[in-house]
Amino acid sequence: MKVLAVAPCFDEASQYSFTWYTRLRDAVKDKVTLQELLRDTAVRSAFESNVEAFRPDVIVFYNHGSEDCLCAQGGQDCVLDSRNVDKVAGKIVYTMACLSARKLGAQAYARGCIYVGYVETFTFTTDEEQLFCEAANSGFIAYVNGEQDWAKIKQIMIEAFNKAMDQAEDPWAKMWLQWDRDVLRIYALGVDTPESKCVFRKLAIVLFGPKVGWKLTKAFPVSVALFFVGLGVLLHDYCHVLWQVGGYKEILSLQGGYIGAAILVLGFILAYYQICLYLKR
Amino acid sequence: MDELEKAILEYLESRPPNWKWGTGTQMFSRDETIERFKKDKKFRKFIIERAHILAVELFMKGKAKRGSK
Repeated sequence: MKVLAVAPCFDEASQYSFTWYTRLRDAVKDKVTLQELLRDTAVRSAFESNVEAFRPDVIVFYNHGSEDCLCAQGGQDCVLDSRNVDKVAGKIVYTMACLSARKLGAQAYARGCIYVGYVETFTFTTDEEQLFCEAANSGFIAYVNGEQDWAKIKQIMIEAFNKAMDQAEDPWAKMWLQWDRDVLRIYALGVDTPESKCVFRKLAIVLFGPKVGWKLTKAFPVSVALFFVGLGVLLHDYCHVLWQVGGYKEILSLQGGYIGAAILVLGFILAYYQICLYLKR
Repeated sequence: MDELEKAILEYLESRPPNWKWGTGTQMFSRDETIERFKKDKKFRKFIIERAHILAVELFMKGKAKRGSK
Protein backbone atom coordinates (compact mmCIF):
# COMPACT_ATOMS: atom_id res chain seq x y z
CA MET A 1 0.00 0.00 0.00
CA LYS A 2 1.43 3.37 -1.06
CA VAL A 3 0.77 6.20 1.35
CA LEU A 4 1.43 9.88 0.73
CA ALA A 5 1.54 11.62 4.10
CA VAL A 6 1.20 15.39 4.33
CA ALA A 7 1.83 17.08 7.65
CA PRO A 8 2.54 20.82 7.77
CA CYS A 9 3.60 22.33 11.08
CA PHE A 10 3.50 26.07 11.64
CA ASP A 11 1.50 27.01 14.74
CA GLU A 12 0.79 25.74 18.23
CA ALA A 13 -2.20 23.61 17.27
CA SER A 14 -0.42 22.09 14.30
CA GLN A 15 2.48 21.04 16.54
CA TYR A 16 0.02 18.63 18.13
CA SER A 17 -1.32 17.36 14.80
CA PHE A 18 2.28 16.92 13.63
CA THR A 19 3.12 14.87 16.73
CA TRP A 20 0.00 12.78 16.16
CA TYR A 21 1.12 12.12 12.60
CA THR A 22 4.57 10.97 13.79
CA ARG A 23 2.84 8.54 16.18
CA LEU A 24 0.68 7.27 13.33
CA ARG A 25 3.78 6.85 11.18
CA ASP A 26 5.53 4.86 13.92
CA ALA A 27 2.50 2.57 14.14
CA VAL A 28 2.25 1.80 10.40
CA LYS A 29 5.67 2.47 8.83
CA ASP A 30 6.64 -1.22 8.55
CA LYS A 31 3.45 -2.08 6.68
CA VAL A 32 3.24 0.67 4.06
CA THR A 33 5.36 2.32 1.38
CA LEU A 34 5.54 5.84 2.67
CA GLN A 35 6.24 9.15 0.97
CA GLU A 36 6.22 12.15 3.28
CA LEU A 37 5.65 15.85 2.74
CA LEU A 38 6.44 17.33 6.13
CA ARG A 39 6.69 20.94 7.34
CA ASP A 40 8.14 23.13 4.53
CA THR A 41 7.67 20.49 1.86
CA ALA A 42 3.93 20.25 2.62
CA VAL A 43 2.92 22.60 -0.19
CA ARG A 44 0.47 22.35 -3.05
CA SER A 45 2.98 21.96 -5.89
CA ALA A 46 4.85 19.17 -4.08
CA PHE A 47 1.56 17.46 -3.24
CA GLU A 48 0.34 17.53 -6.84
CA SER A 49 3.65 16.34 -8.30
CA ASN A 50 3.87 13.53 -5.75
CA VAL A 51 0.32 12.38 -6.45
CA GLU A 52 1.29 12.16 -10.15
CA ALA A 53 4.68 10.53 -9.68
CA PHE A 54 4.24 8.37 -6.57
CA ARG A 55 0.62 7.36 -7.35
CA PRO A 56 -0.44 6.75 -3.74
CA ASP A 57 -3.40 4.58 -2.74
CA VAL A 58 -3.94 6.62 0.40
CA ILE A 59 -3.38 10.26 1.29
CA VAL A 60 -2.92 10.94 4.97
CA PHE A 61 -3.26 14.58 5.97
CA TYR A 62 -2.64 15.90 9.50
CA ASN A 63 -3.11 19.63 9.94
CA HIS A 64 -5.69 22.38 9.71
CA GLY A 65 -8.56 22.33 7.28
CA SER A 66 -11.68 24.20 6.35
CA GLU A 67 -14.82 23.29 4.44
CA ASP A 68 -13.03 23.48 1.13
CA CYS A 69 -9.35 23.16 2.00
CA LEU A 70 -6.60 21.06 3.51
CA CYS A 71 -4.03 23.68 4.52
CA ALA A 72 -0.51 23.81 3.17
CA GLN A 73 2.53 24.84 5.22
CA GLY A 74 1.99 28.37 6.54
CA GLY A 75 -1.78 28.15 6.36
CA GLN A 76 -2.19 30.55 3.43
CA ASP A 77 -2.52 28.08 0.58
CA CYS A 78 -4.27 24.71 0.28
CA VAL A 79 -2.70 21.36 -0.48
CA LEU A 80 -6.09 20.12 -1.63
CA ASP A 81 -9.23 22.08 -2.47
CA SER A 82 -12.04 22.06 -5.02
CA ARG A 83 -9.66 23.16 -7.78
CA ASN A 84 -7.49 20.04 -7.57
CA VAL A 85 -9.87 17.59 -5.88
CA ASP A 86 -9.72 15.43 -9.02
CA LYS A 87 -6.22 14.43 -7.85
CA VAL A 88 -7.74 12.22 -5.13
CA ALA A 89 -10.30 10.53 -7.39
CA GLY A 90 -10.47 6.82 -6.59
CA LYS A 91 -8.08 7.14 -3.63
CA ILE A 92 -8.50 7.13 0.13
CA VAL A 93 -8.09 10.37 2.06
CA TYR A 94 -7.57 10.00 5.81
CA THR A 95 -7.45 13.25 7.74
CA MET A 96 -8.08 14.71 11.17
CA ALA A 97 -8.41 18.22 9.71
CA CYS A 98 -11.35 20.32 10.86
CA LEU A 99 -14.46 20.79 8.72
CA SER A 100 -13.08 19.34 5.51
CA ALA A 101 -15.67 16.55 5.33
CA ARG A 102 -18.38 19.17 4.83
CA LYS A 103 -17.57 20.22 1.28
CA LEU A 104 -14.17 18.93 0.20
CA GLY A 105 -14.99 15.43 1.46
CA ALA A 106 -18.29 15.48 -0.42
CA GLN A 107 -16.53 16.61 -3.60
CA ALA A 108 -13.89 13.90 -3.21
CA TYR A 109 -16.59 11.28 -2.52
CA ALA A 110 -18.36 12.33 -5.72
CA ARG A 111 -15.13 11.42 -7.52
CA GLY A 112 -15.03 7.91 -6.10
CA CYS A 113 -12.78 8.75 -3.16
CA ILE A 114 -13.20 7.25 0.30
CA TYR A 115 -12.93 10.20 2.66
CA VAL A 116 -12.32 10.02 6.40
CA GLY A 117 -12.68 13.42 8.03
CA TYR A 118 -14.70 15.69 10.28
CA VAL A 119 -17.66 17.97 9.55
CA GLU A 120 -16.86 20.33 12.45
CA THR A 121 -13.71 21.55 14.15
CA PHE A 122 -11.53 18.85 15.67
CA THR A 123 -11.12 19.84 19.30
CA PHE A 124 -8.75 18.53 21.99
CA THR A 125 -7.23 19.26 25.37
CA THR A 126 -3.47 19.40 25.75
CA ASP A 127 -3.37 17.50 29.09
CA GLU A 128 -4.89 14.40 27.58
CA GLU A 129 -3.93 14.90 23.93
CA GLN A 130 -2.71 11.29 23.76
CA LEU A 131 -6.31 10.09 24.05
CA PHE A 132 -7.44 12.29 21.17
CA CYS A 133 -4.47 11.15 19.11
CA GLU A 134 -5.15 7.44 19.70
CA ALA A 135 -8.80 7.77 18.70
CA ALA A 136 -8.05 9.90 15.63
CA ASN A 137 -5.33 7.48 14.47
CA SER A 138 -7.27 4.28 15.21
CA GLY A 139 -9.07 4.06 11.88
CA PHE A 140 -6.00 4.22 9.70
CA ILE A 141 -4.11 1.77 11.90
CA ALA A 142 -7.04 -0.66 11.58
CA TYR A 143 -7.02 -0.21 7.80
CA VAL A 144 -3.28 -0.84 7.53
CA ASN A 145 -3.69 -3.92 9.73
CA GLY A 146 -6.03 -5.43 7.15
CA GLU A 147 -9.52 -4.15 7.94
CA GLN A 148 -11.09 -3.28 4.57
CA ASP A 149 -14.70 -2.75 5.66
CA TRP A 150 -15.14 0.99 6.24
CA ALA A 151 -18.29 0.45 8.29
CA LYS A 152 -16.21 -1.67 10.69
CA ILE A 153 -13.42 0.93 10.64
CA LYS A 154 -15.93 3.59 11.65
CA GLN A 155 -17.11 1.34 14.46
CA ILE A 156 -13.48 0.85 15.56
CA MET A 157 -13.01 4.63 15.62
CA ILE A 158 -16.22 5.21 17.56
CA GLU A 159 -15.16 2.57 20.10
CA ALA A 160 -11.72 4.21 20.32
CA PHE A 161 -13.36 7.56 21.10
CA ASN A 162 -15.67 5.88 23.64
CA LYS A 163 -12.70 4.18 25.30
CA ALA A 164 -10.85 7.49 25.40
CA MET A 165 -13.92 9.11 27.00
CA ASP A 166 -13.88 6.45 29.71
CA GLN A 167 -10.15 6.95 30.28
CA ALA A 168 -10.22 10.75 30.31
CA GLU A 169 -10.12 12.28 33.76
CA ASP A 170 -11.01 15.82 32.72
CA PRO A 171 -14.74 16.31 31.93
CA TRP A 172 -13.72 18.98 29.40
CA ALA A 173 -11.72 16.28 27.55
CA LYS A 174 -14.64 13.84 27.77
CA MET A 175 -16.92 16.46 26.27
CA TRP A 176 -14.63 17.12 23.29
CA LEU A 177 -13.87 13.45 22.70
CA GLN A 178 -17.60 12.91 22.42
CA TRP A 179 -17.85 15.91 20.07
CA ASP A 180 -15.02 14.66 17.83
CA ARG A 181 -16.63 11.23 17.71
CA ASP A 182 -19.99 12.72 16.72
CA VAL A 183 -18.55 14.88 13.92
CA LEU A 184 -16.45 12.08 12.40
CA ARG A 185 -17.56 11.04 8.92
CA ILE A 186 -16.42 8.25 6.66
CA TYR A 187 -17.72 8.77 3.17
CA ALA A 188 -17.73 5.30 1.72
CA LEU A 189 -20.38 3.07 0.25
CA GLY A 190 -22.61 1.80 3.07
CA VAL A 191 -21.15 4.09 5.74
CA ASP A 192 -21.80 7.84 5.68
CA THR A 193 -23.15 9.93 2.83
CA PRO A 194 -22.38 13.64 2.57
CA GLU A 195 -25.25 15.91 3.50
CA SER A 196 -26.17 18.91 1.39
CA LYS A 197 -28.18 22.05 2.10
CA CYS A 198 -28.67 22.62 -1.63
CA VAL A 199 -32.23 21.81 -2.76
CA PHE A 200 -31.07 20.80 -6.25
CA ARG A 201 -28.41 18.50 -4.81
CA LYS A 202 -30.97 16.86 -2.52
CA LEU A 203 -33.34 16.43 -5.45
CA ALA A 204 -30.55 14.98 -7.62
CA ILE A 205 -29.67 12.46 -4.88
CA VAL A 206 -33.34 11.43 -4.54
CA LEU A 207 -33.80 11.13 -8.33
CA PHE A 208 -30.50 9.55 -9.35
CA GLY A 209 -29.07 8.10 -6.14
CA PRO A 210 -25.96 9.31 -4.23
CA LYS A 211 -23.42 8.02 -6.77
CA VAL A 212 -24.79 10.19 -9.56
CA GLY A 213 -26.41 12.88 -7.41
CA TRP A 214 -23.10 13.95 -5.87
CA LYS A 215 -21.34 14.16 -9.24
CA LEU A 216 -23.75 16.55 -10.91
CA THR A 217 -22.71 20.18 -10.99
CA LYS A 218 -24.79 23.36 -11.24
CA ALA A 219 -24.60 22.99 -15.02
CA PHE A 220 -27.00 20.03 -14.84
CA PRO A 221 -30.18 21.82 -13.65
CA VAL A 222 -29.22 24.82 -15.81
CA SER A 223 -28.87 22.62 -18.93
CA VAL A 224 -32.19 20.86 -18.24
CA ALA A 225 -33.94 24.20 -17.67
CA LEU A 226 -32.40 25.74 -20.81
CA PHE A 227 -33.45 22.76 -22.91
CA PHE A 228 -37.08 22.78 -21.79
CA VAL A 229 -37.43 26.57 -21.81
CA GLY A 230 -35.96 26.60 -25.34
CA LEU A 231 -38.30 23.80 -26.40
CA GLY A 232 -41.25 25.62 -24.82
CA VAL A 233 -40.46 28.86 -26.73
CA LEU A 234 -40.08 26.87 -29.94
CA LEU A 235 -43.40 25.03 -29.46
CA HIS A 236 -45.19 28.23 -28.53
CA ASP A 237 -44.05 29.96 -31.73
CA TYR A 238 -44.85 26.86 -33.77
CA CYS A 239 -48.36 26.65 -32.28
CA HIS A 240 -48.87 30.37 -32.92
CA VAL A 241 -48.03 29.93 -36.59
CA LEU A 242 -50.39 26.93 -36.74
CA TRP A 243 -53.14 29.03 -35.15
CA GLN A 244 -52.61 31.74 -37.78
CA VAL A 245 -52.93 29.12 -40.52
CA GLY A 246 -55.97 27.20 -39.28
CA GLY A 247 -56.93 28.17 -35.71
CA TYR A 248 -57.17 25.69 -32.81
CA LYS A 249 -58.18 22.87 -35.15
CA GLU A 250 -54.81 23.16 -36.86
CA ILE A 251 -52.97 23.19 -33.50
CA LEU A 252 -54.78 20.05 -32.29
CA SER A 253 -54.15 18.06 -35.46
CA LEU A 254 -51.04 15.83 -35.77
CA GLN A 255 -48.12 17.89 -37.08
CA GLY A 256 -44.62 16.89 -38.16
CA GLY A 257 -43.24 19.51 -35.75
CA TYR A 258 -44.77 17.67 -32.78
CA ILE A 259 -43.06 14.47 -33.82
CA GLY A 260 -39.81 16.42 -34.17
CA ALA A 261 -40.26 17.82 -30.65
CA ALA A 262 -41.02 14.34 -29.27
CA ILE A 263 -37.84 13.01 -30.95
CA LEU A 264 -35.85 15.88 -29.40
CA VAL A 265 -37.17 15.04 -25.90
CA LEU A 266 -36.51 11.33 -26.44
CA GLY A 267 -32.97 12.09 -27.64
CA PHE A 268 -32.43 14.34 -24.61
CA ILE A 269 -33.63 11.64 -22.19
CA LEU A 270 -31.47 8.97 -23.87
CA ALA A 271 -28.41 11.23 -23.79
CA TYR A 272 -28.86 11.96 -20.08
CA TYR A 273 -29.53 8.28 -19.39
CA GLN A 274 -26.15 7.50 -20.96
CA ILE A 275 -24.50 10.21 -18.85
CA CYS A 276 -26.10 8.77 -15.71
CA LEU A 277 -24.85 5.28 -16.56
CA TYR A 278 -21.36 6.69 -17.03
CA LEU A 279 -21.48 8.62 -13.75
CA LYS A 280 -22.64 5.50 -11.91
CA ARG A 281 -19.38 3.71 -12.72
CA MET B 1 -26.28 32.02 35.23
CA ASP B 2 -28.00 28.76 36.06
CA GLU B 3 -26.57 25.98 38.23
CA LEU B 4 -24.85 24.15 35.37
CA GLU B 5 -23.26 27.33 34.04
CA LYS B 6 -21.98 28.16 37.53
CA ALA B 7 -20.62 24.63 37.95
CA ILE B 8 -18.78 24.80 34.63
CA LEU B 9 -17.36 28.22 35.48
CA GLU B 10 -16.17 26.97 38.87
CA TYR B 11 -14.65 23.95 37.17
CA LEU B 12 -12.80 26.19 34.69
CA GLU B 13 -11.54 28.40 37.51
CA SER B 14 -10.19 25.32 39.28
CA ARG B 15 -8.02 24.33 36.28
CA PRO B 16 -4.25 24.77 36.64
CA PRO B 17 -2.83 27.95 35.02
CA ASN B 18 -1.13 25.98 32.22
CA TRP B 19 -4.39 24.18 31.26
CA LYS B 20 -5.11 24.51 27.53
CA TRP B 21 -7.37 23.23 24.84
CA GLY B 22 -7.48 23.70 21.10
CA THR B 23 -10.24 23.91 18.55
CA GLY B 24 -9.41 24.34 14.89
CA THR B 25 -6.55 26.80 14.58
CA GLN B 26 -7.19 28.38 17.98
CA MET B 27 -5.69 27.47 21.35
CA PHE B 28 -7.31 28.68 24.57
CA SER B 29 -5.74 29.02 27.99
CA ARG B 30 -7.70 28.69 31.22
CA ASP B 31 -8.13 32.46 31.56
CA GLU B 32 -9.14 32.92 27.93
CA THR B 33 -11.71 30.15 28.28
CA ILE B 34 -13.17 31.71 31.43
CA GLU B 35 -13.33 35.09 29.72
CA ARG B 36 -15.05 33.64 26.70
CA PHE B 37 -17.45 31.60 28.81
CA LYS B 38 -18.49 34.72 30.69
CA LYS B 39 -18.76 37.08 27.72
CA ASP B 40 -19.58 34.99 24.65
CA LYS B 41 -23.23 33.96 24.95
CA LYS B 42 -23.10 31.72 21.88
CA PHE B 43 -20.04 29.88 23.21
CA ARG B 44 -21.62 29.50 26.65
CA LYS B 45 -24.81 28.13 25.13
CA PHE B 46 -22.83 25.67 23.03
CA ILE B 47 -20.83 24.41 26.02
CA ILE B 48 -24.01 23.96 28.06
CA GLU B 49 -25.58 22.05 25.18
CA ARG B 50 -22.56 19.74 24.90
CA ALA B 51 -22.47 19.27 28.69
CA HIS B 52 -26.10 18.14 28.53
CA ILE B 53 -25.35 15.72 25.69
CA LEU B 54 -22.37 14.34 27.61
CA ALA B 55 -24.42 13.95 30.80
CA VAL B 56 -27.15 12.06 28.95
CA GLU B 57 -24.60 9.70 27.39
CA LEU B 58 -22.78 9.06 30.68
CA PHE B 59 -26.07 8.20 32.39
CA MET B 60 -27.13 5.94 29.53
CA LYS B 61 -23.74 4.21 29.61
CA GLY B 62 -24.04 3.79 33.37
CA LYS B 63 -27.48 2.29 32.91
CA ALA B 64 -26.19 -0.11 30.22
CA LYS B 65 -23.22 -1.20 32.38
CA ARG B 66 -25.47 -1.78 35.39
CA GLY B 67 -27.92 -3.71 33.22
CA SER B 68 -25.22 -6.01 31.84
CA LYS B 69 -24.00 -7.09 35.29
